[in-house]
Amino acid sequence: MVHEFKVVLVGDGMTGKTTFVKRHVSGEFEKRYLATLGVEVRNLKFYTSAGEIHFNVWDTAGQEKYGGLRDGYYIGANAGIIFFDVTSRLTYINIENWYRDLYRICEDIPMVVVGNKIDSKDRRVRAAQVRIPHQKNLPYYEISAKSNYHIDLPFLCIAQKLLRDSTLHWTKQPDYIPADIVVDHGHLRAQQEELEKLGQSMALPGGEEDDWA
Amino acid sequence: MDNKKVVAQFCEYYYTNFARDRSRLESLYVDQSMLTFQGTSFKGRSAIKEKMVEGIRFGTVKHENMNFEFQPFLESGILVLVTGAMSTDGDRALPFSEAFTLAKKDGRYIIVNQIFRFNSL
Repeated sequence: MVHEFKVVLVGDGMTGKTTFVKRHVSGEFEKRYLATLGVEVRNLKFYTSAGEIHFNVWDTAGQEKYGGLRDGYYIGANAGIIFFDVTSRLTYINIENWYRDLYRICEDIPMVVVGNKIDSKDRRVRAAQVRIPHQKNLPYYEISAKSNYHIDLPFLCIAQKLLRDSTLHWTKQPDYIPADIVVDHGHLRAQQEELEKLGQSMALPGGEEDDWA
Repeated sequence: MDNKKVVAQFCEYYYTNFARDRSRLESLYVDQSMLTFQGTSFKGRSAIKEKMVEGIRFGTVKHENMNFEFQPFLESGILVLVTGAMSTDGDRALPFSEAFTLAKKDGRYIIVNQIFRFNSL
C-alpha cells in the first residue's frame, strides 16, 4: 500500500525551498510544472517501516517574494514545511506570517520549521534565538540543503505524524544528489551540539508526543 | 500628446524603472494614489514608495510578452490594462495582469489607481 500526501513548502524567497526539494533524487524524475498555478510539484518517494510514502511536494515559482500566496496553494495540504534562512533575521521573523497563513487554511496539519543554510559561516540567527517553533509547539530542524545535511529529517517527522507512528523509520535511505559544497563537518557538528545543549529538541524523530487528531 | 503616446511612454518608464530602480517611480504617485499589490492595499505616495522600494525584495527583474490596452475616461483619465509575464532573480516567468488609471494633475500624468495580480497562485 502506498500512502500519498500533499506537502506544501512555505517561507520567504531565497530561503532554499527549491534547493531543498531538488536534492531528493526521486522528485527529479517525477516533477511537473502547473503553469496556470505557478507551482512545481515533485513526487518524492520514501520507503518506510510503515510502507511506501509518496509526498507530492508543492513549491512555488517564487511568487512568495511579492507577498502571501493564494488559498489554492494551501488547500488540500496534508502537511507543511516552513523555511527560514539562518543567515537572515527577517526570514526568521516572517515564519510567524507563514505559519498564520498555513494555519488559516489547513489548521492542525503537521508542520515543521526548518532553519536552512547552517553550512554558512555568516549565521545571524543563533540556535538559542530560535524561539518561534517552540512557542507554537512545532518541531524544529536545522539543515544545510546544499550539503544534504539532515535533509530527510523534516520528511521523516511528517511521515511519523501523518501515519501516527513515532517508531516509523526509513527502510531504505533516500537518494540525494551529491552535495554542492564541501561539507565542513566540524562546523555542522558544533551547531548541532549547540542546539542539543539547548535541549529544545532537534525534535529527533520519535521524541514527539503531541497528537494531530 | 495623444493617449496612445502617453500610454506607451508611461509603460516604458514604469516597467523599465520597476526593473532597474523602483525609487524612481515615486514621482508618478500623489497622496490620492492607491496601489493594490497581490491583494494588499497602500494609499498615498510615501506608503506606496515604501512598498515599492523596501517591501518588494528581489534583485533582477525581466518582463516578457507585454501587452498594453487603454481607454480614455472623463476629461483626462486613461484606463490601462497590462498583461505580460515577469521573472525575478532568474525564476520562472509568471503571467500577471496590472491595471492603472492615469490622470492629469498640475499639467502632468500621475497614477491614481493601480492593481497588480499574478494570474497564478
